[in-house]
Amino acid sequence: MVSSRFSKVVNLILFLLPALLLYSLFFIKPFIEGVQYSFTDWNGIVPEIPLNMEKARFEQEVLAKLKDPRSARYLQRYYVLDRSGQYYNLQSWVQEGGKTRQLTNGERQKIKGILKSVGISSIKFIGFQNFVDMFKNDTRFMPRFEKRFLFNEFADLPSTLGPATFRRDLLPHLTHKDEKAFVQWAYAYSSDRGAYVLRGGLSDTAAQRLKGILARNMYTNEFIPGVIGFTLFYTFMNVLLSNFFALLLAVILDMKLRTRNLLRSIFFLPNVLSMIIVAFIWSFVFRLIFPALTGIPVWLGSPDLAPWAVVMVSVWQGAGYLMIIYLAGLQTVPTDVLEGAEVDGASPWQRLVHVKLPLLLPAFTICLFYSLANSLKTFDVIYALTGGGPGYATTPVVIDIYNNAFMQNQFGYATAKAVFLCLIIMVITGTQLWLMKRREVEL
Amino acid sequence: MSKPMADKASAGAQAWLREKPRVGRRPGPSLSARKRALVALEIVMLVAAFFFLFPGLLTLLNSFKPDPEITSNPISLPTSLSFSNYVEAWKETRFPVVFFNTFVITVLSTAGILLVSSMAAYILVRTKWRISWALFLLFTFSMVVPFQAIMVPLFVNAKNLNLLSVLGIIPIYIGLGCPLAIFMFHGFIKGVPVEIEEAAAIDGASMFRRFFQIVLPLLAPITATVAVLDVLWIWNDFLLPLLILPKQSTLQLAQFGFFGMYRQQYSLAMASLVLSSSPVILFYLLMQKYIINGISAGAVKG
Repeated sequence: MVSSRFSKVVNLILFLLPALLLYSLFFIKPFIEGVQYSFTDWNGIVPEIPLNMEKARFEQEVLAKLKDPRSARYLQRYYVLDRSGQYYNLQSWVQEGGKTRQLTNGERQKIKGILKSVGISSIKFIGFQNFVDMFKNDTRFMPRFEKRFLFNEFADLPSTLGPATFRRDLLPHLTHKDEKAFVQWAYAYSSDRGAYVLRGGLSDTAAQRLKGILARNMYTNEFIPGVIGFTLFYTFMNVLLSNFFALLLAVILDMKLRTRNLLRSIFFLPNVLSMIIVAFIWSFVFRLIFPALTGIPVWLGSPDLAPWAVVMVSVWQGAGYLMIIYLAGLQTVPTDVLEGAEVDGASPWQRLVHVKLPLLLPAFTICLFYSLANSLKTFDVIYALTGGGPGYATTPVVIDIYNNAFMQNQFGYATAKAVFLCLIIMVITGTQLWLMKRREVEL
Repeated sequence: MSKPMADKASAGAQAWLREKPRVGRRPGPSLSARKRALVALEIVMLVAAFFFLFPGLLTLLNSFKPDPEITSNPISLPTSLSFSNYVEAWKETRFPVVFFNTFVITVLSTAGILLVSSMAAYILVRTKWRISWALFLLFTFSMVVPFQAIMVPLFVNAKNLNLLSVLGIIPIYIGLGCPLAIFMFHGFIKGVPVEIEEAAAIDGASMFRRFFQIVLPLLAPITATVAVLDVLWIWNDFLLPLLILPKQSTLQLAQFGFFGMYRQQYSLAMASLVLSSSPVILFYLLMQKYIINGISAGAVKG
């Protein structure tokens, strides 16, 4: 090229500037701020600058510490001592040239900067507390076991206890020796009834004691998948099923069917619809058609079925996209290889398993990566279909983040979860790509 | 792609061919039997396709029926063809306004992404410095970060910049959409020969002229691909408008709000579903070739 180095630099800047500017403003800056917010307890409502400060504190800790008198004067324009003489209040309306206007964003930023230089901020840095909360204190987030008590102290004593209940849910939980002996004395195994039977004629005190012991110690450990558990369930099922159906469709529609173009268009169609529309179309099916068809009245409202319903809709919507990628992969299989295998007498099944599928590995890598990353990030379809409910049975991490941020006003906490999710996605997809690329090279 | 495997396999197949020419086929299904199997498979697939489309067909069917008819028998054909549901849904969702908003956002954002990204990718390919490689990596970094990680601060920034409006969301879409577009343009431009530009440069054409008059027309195929992907993304996007825009200002938001309000009035909900999905289905039918090509090309490159 005949241009000088200088003009090259100018061109680089000019060509790159628009993209870089918008990218920095709407991705890089929010990303860095997100990582910062994740270490704070900001709730999103408290303004980033304090609305008022005590007189003594403002004078001693702010004005006295400011080295530049201009900054002090700047602050005093906006913080004005109130009538009682105890507080300096932030003036959110400014008088300027006879007009009253609201404090501009630039002014807020400048005030924030000055206050920060003397160590005053309304957003508290709390270190890793958000991350600790996420794993330890957030009862909805991590999968866990929850005790579900089987007996309530004010009910009547059960006359029989099933052997499983007695041996699994009661006995192992008794730590006191005499309590154990007492329970075993009160409930004796009767082999002809196949259960533990309550001894007749217990005294009131004995009955009361027994009730107390049962109420405290008879429970099952119920598994609560939590937000993380549902996200993993959804991701696993969605990746598995949508890849399975996509591959099946691709293999069939790669054959010489007369209507294959029409069929391809049909199976891809849901993919161009928005998730919102897809979710609403299906919510109608789940509410009016499925109950009549299966006899199960409630689908989206049932904590057991709703996760499957969500997976079903996602597969319906997403399989077409993966099918296109698999079809593109199948078309790269060289015809001479297939013909060679056919001449050699390989059955269609053998040709599929031994020739086509191994050559599809690159397409498989892409599809797996795509569906993994997308499943971990799915928001729209679940939000519109179930809203994360019933309870939080279908709440994936992303909806949980949204709720934390915009429903419960925990901006700091929500961003901490987002940073965690970001790490998870990077680790999972990174591992997958690394493993698959290694296999591809081996082949 | 795993070239070595393909080469090995084809070499093997050719070796078998050379070994000895086989006379006839191994005993297998005869040709007519295979044809019959294909026809059977075709019928099975057509039935499967019908059931696959069933939810959509139901929606279309029920959009013509009044409410009592829907709840009494959701799969019956409508007794009369009435468009009253559509008229009401059209008015209730403020369809023209909402459609226009979505259209403006999609077209301007996509055009912005195409312009900004093709320029950036071009200069990143043509300037072979370490910094241009580093910048390219900086752009691709965003592709592994989920939107949720920047969602909250992005909202705060947009609010501070007064961008919570239909026009304000456009620069945000350009900023968020340019990495993938740059990535795809970058891959394509690497294959565009530099000689024509050099000749033009000797004739004294500036970098801008060279780009807009010589290079840009050559980028048509990849531009179509990127455009199709971005149009589908932005048209169907839900979360970003939900954060940034006032309630019910795009098709997706209006649909969401409308369905929430008329949850029990199936007739209106169905009609509005058909109404709001028809533009994108029309787009799909018209641009099918580009969409399919775009997805396979985009996926292979991504």
